[in-house]
Amino acid sequence: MLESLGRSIQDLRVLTAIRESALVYPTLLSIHLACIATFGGLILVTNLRLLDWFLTDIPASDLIRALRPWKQGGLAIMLTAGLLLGGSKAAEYLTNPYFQVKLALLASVGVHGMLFRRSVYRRPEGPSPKAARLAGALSLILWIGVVSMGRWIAYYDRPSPAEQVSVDTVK
Amino acid sequence: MYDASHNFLNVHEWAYGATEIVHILSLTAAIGFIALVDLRLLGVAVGQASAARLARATAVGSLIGLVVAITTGFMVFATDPVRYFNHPTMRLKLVTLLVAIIFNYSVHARVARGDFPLPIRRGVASISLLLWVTIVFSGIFYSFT
Repeated sequence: MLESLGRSIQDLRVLTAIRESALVYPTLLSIHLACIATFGGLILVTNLRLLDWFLTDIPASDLIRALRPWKQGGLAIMLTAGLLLGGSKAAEYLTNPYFQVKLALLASVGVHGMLFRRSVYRRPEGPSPKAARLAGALSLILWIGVVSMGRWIAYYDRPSPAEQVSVDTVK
Repeated sequence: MYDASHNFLNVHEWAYGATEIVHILSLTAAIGFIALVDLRLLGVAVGQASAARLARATAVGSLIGLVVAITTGFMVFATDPVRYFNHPTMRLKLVTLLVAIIFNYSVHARVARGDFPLPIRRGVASISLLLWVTIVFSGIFYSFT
């Protein structure tokens, strides 16, 4: 089911073109990684501040406000590049368990942002200290998971049909 | 004679992947900390913090990130040293890395901590970001060219 859905996605003309291009695919991947390094790094900066490990003389709300448009812009570019990359190999990716975990973690990042919106990220008087620490720690764990699973996608050993047959015979 | 086939990362696939993950996470930390200073130099207001304040606060973090990223980078390099060393894109990455490190600890550090006119601060921040992004690009393009 997921595989046939993936096939119909990756057969879109633009995604086929990306998959078959020698230059566009690595360019998108580089953009994806460059966004992780720069704007993802700003997410790390925000989380370290929320944890009170860093820049404690600057109000967390000032740092959050200053970095918000950059992180949002970076996230938009990162997601666009990621969707095009994943979409161009959708049949392979949607059936890859590490990619599925990555998507679940990304969804959790979205839920995390909404959950802590009122107590941390958009609180007019600044984040409440307890919620700030929890939000920073959770965000750090989720994003480390997203990056790790992203890399691990390439390490999935798809069971080949032949192997499945031999396992069945042994049983 | 060094034999790459006995290299730990070549023998254990999980260790290869784990090293790559640490490489990505540590370079993210290093470049993110430097990017924070660069944004301030470009003129983005970060509360009341000066570029000098941000440079001081991020110095240890970016140094640790760089050391870990370079260490894990050379661990991966050692799995196939001849191919890596002879590859033009990898050479571009290594040369850019050397330039970026020298720039970061000379011009960038001085401008971040000193009192320079905005055009100079902006120019230095742009060069810094461009250098680090070039390193990321050449790291990816290496495996496609």
